[in-house]
Amino acid sequence: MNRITRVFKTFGTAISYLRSGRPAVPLLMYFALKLCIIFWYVLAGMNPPGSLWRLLMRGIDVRAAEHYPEHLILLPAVIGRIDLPLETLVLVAAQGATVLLVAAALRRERSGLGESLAGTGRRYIHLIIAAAAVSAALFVWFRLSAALLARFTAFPYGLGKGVSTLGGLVLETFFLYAIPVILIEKRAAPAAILRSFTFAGRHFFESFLLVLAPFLLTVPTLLLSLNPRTIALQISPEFLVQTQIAGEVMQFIATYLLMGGLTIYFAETRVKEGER
Amino acid sequence: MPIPRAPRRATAFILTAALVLLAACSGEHGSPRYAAEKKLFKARKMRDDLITGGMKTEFVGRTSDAYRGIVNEYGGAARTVPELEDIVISAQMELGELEYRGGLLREARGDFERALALAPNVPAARANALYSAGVISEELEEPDSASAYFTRFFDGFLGVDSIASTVRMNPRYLVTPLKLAGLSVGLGDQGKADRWLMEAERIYLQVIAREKDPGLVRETRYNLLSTYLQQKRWSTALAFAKEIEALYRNPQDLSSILYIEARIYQDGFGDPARALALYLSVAGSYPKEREAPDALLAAAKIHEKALRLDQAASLYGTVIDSFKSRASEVVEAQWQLAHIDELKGDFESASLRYHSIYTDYPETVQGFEAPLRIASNYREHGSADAARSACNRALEHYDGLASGDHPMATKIMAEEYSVRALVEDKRWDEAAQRLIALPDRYPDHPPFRENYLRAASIYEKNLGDRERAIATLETCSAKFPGTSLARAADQELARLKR
Repeated sequence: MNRITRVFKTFGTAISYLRSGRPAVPLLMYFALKLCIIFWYVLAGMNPPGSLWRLLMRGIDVRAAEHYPEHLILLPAVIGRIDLPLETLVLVAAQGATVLLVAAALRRERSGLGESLAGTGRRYIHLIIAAAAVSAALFVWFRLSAALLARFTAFPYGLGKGVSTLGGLVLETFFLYAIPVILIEKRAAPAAILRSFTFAGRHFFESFLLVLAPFLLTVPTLLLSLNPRTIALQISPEFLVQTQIAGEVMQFIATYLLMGGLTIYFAETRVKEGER
Repeated sequence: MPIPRAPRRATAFILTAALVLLAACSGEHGSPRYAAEKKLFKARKMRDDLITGGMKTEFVGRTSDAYRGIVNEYGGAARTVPELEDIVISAQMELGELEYRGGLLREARGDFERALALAPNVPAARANALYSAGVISEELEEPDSASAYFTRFFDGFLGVDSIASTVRMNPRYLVTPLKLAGLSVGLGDQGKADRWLMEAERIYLQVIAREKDPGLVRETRYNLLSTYLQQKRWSTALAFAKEIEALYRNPQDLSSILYIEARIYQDGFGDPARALALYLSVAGSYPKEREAPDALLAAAKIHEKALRLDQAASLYGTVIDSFKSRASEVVEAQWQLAHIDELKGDFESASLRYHSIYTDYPETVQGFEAPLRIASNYREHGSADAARSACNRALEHYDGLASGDHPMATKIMAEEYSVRALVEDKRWDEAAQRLIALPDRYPDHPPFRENYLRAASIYEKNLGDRERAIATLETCSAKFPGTSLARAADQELARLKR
């Protein structure tokens, strides 16, 4: 089978599992949590009890954030700051539960939501370490590439950003299988990361495609969130709230496709290659 | 395959919660201050769209209502909540500015008056409102009123103690005594004008001596130079100009100051030869500076006055060829070239130039004047038929400007010029009818209401029709009861009925 077709077939299979409802529930719960946070920020603003937000506002003009439309213009920046701890501590659990539910569906076994969450809980520390390692690696890469781009000023800005993003996706590809390895093969985080590097290296094209396709789904909303001030002034500040929610929807879809696709691809490849 | 009940319930719950949150996200933020900020933002967006869209009259009202809504809704609470006070005053000031941009000068002045009442403790807003009301009164050609506003401004903000903070609000406020002097001259009170100029000199010298901000000091030096020019103290002005010339050695300042020196030689010392040399040196040494085309025009006019027509024409041609982006200077050069053609007796060439002026620059003063000039040229040279058809073409041109997608100021000018075309062609009845139609067509332009008096005068003096003059004045009196216009109409009526 064509390698591209195979990757897209894994996405199709992941989507087909949604008929049972279960595999999407962990990520839906995470999506609902993000909506609650957005809702809280938009309605509570910077006033009590929303003053908790101030903890996240280091380096941001809090007084300006108390006023309209600055309050809404800062929404993407503030949510972006929450994302780092939230993704490391919470999203990774939802992703783990999704991996277990998809893997069970692939084996044609019935697995409950509680069961998969419990399974994730047992490996939670390893999952956090793996998630933190990915975040740290991406952070270092983007800092490094930004510093390099600043030195080579002749390099076109847009092209530089493109190269930097592509590099980030390649880096993410090598960490891709850490979660399924931790949960399915029950390895510790460092060994899982090593195994992920080896596996992704052997199947780089398919693995990169697994990362790239869901990422492309999020690009439109990602681009919209890059210049919130222009959106607020040219369209409407409220449109930023809608853009943020649309971004979360696309993130939910992309994350499900990624986790579902990579679990199926990883499991099928192991079987095919006779691995244990 | 049927979906199991438990996940289905969880999914349905999460999706419902998401939908509720989505709907709630469009709701209002809690505090009145936040809500007022939101309304002010929306009003500002409407204003920006209005300006980008060319200030279409039909949308001015809607945007004004948005601002007025903020003032009405939060005006009461603003007295007790400082944050709301700022928003309400901003809305009131911006309403005035919007009306000013939309040509609604009286309404704008009224709204600046209301801003004054709303901002007793906000000096920056008070200063802006008073100054703006003064400028609007000048534009309304109400020198008494303008003088009163500027005097209030002067007393409130240009005193010995307050001047330092006032110039930091807006350096433009420093020209207030110069404006007051100019207004006094216009009102025929030279003594008062002289006193204002002395005040101006005193203030500027104080600012120059005490201020540290180099930009502000530079601007004040130019204001002081203007004062000397208005006082006609030519030698002092020239000496001070030389002092500025020595202080600011950049092309922008040097071109400005040399241009002013040339004006001093021309207007003050009656030395056109020296002025001509300086004008040409400005244009030659600083061709990229703002003064370059003006200097060429001034030099050309010196040649023209001395009847060195070819040299003048050559310089006008240079302005047209070298400063294409400077529309007002280019159109002035073309106008003067047409005038030179007239002086040479070449009326056909002059007419062609006038035609290109009103075709290429229809919204300039010269563009409005040009069609009438063609008609009057034919009239002066006995071509009655050609004059009539030139007048008809002028009317078509003005009607096109009045009915097209042009700014309100252009439409009003076009209407006034169309009446002038009819008057110059002695089509008195048409002129009177057109005059009477304008107040209803432009209800937001009060000066047109006085057209009833002009039309009555035409009926009486040019058409000898006292009955229609009386009927016109009666209509005016009935339409605007209790106004100074109605009183003037009643006085005329009493005279006609005597």
